[in-house]
Amino acid sequence: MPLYNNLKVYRAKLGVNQQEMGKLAGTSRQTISQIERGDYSPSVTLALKIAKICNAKVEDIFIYEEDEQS
Amino acid sequence: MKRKSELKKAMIFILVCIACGVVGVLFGRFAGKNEDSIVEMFQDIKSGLQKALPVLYAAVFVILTAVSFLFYGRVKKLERSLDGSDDDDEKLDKIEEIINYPILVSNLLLIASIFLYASCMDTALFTTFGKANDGLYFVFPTILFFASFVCVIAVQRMSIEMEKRQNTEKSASVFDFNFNSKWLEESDEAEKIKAYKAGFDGFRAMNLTCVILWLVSLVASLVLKTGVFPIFIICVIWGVGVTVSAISGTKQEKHGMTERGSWS
Repeated sequence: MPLYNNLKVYRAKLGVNQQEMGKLAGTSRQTISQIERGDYSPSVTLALKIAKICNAKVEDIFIYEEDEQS
Repeated sequence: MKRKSELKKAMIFILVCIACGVVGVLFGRFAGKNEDSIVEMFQDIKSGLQKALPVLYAAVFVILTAVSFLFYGRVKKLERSLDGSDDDDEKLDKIEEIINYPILVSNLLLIASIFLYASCMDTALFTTFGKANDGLYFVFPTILFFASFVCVIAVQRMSIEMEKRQNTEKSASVFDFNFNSKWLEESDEAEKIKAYKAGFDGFRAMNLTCVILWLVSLVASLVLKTGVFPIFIICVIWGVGVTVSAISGTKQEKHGMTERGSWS
């Protein structure tokens, strides 16, 4: 999936661990972990929530890159 | 191009159907010619298995209980090693990965126990050597049956409690009859998707299993005279699975991925 993210960097800037980030975003720690690993693409709602918590734009955290083939 | 590929798929489907038919006819002819020896062979196997049932039940109970507790012990060790450092995230991911194994193994123990207990009862009631060994075919399996239930509940409760310690938003109890619905209600979007995907994989596996079991029970009813009851049971399971899936699919179409669209 061509969706990349800088969530780990933004989370480090906030100084919170995955558990705390999950609590702030109203989601589980595993979901934050999966997003950071690129194993899960969050819904628009969750992406907006995360961006708001990180005080950034969605596109600063989540980057969509077209595949070379498509 | 699309039509050509569709035609190719249809040809493969027809060829597989013909091949299955040919195998069926050949097996039917072979079974018809050797019916007596096949029946005799299966009766020998059945009798041998029935005699070994108490030992088999005890072995299955000991092995599956030990494996589920070993898996739980491994997860518990990981949980104890959590120290609030940055490494914790990796350890927590590992815990989430392994925690499903004790639950899976304990579920397998429960299913195996239900089958083996019923087989022991059948042996105790309908065979001469079963009647002569009441303690071995009735009392011993009954003790194992209840012991299995206690182990299954213990392993599942401990695993769920650990899961709840990692996910404080979760509060569902394993003793609650609506445990699955409550657990799903308390799950976030990613966990719900995982549950739906797992359910879909289970549905696909059920469909394939039902086809295979239907064929096996059909052959058994023709050769071993097992009757149509096993076929009926398979069709009920198949029918319920397919109907629930279709109704749920229709609800999803109507309401989308909302709570109203959920089966539970």
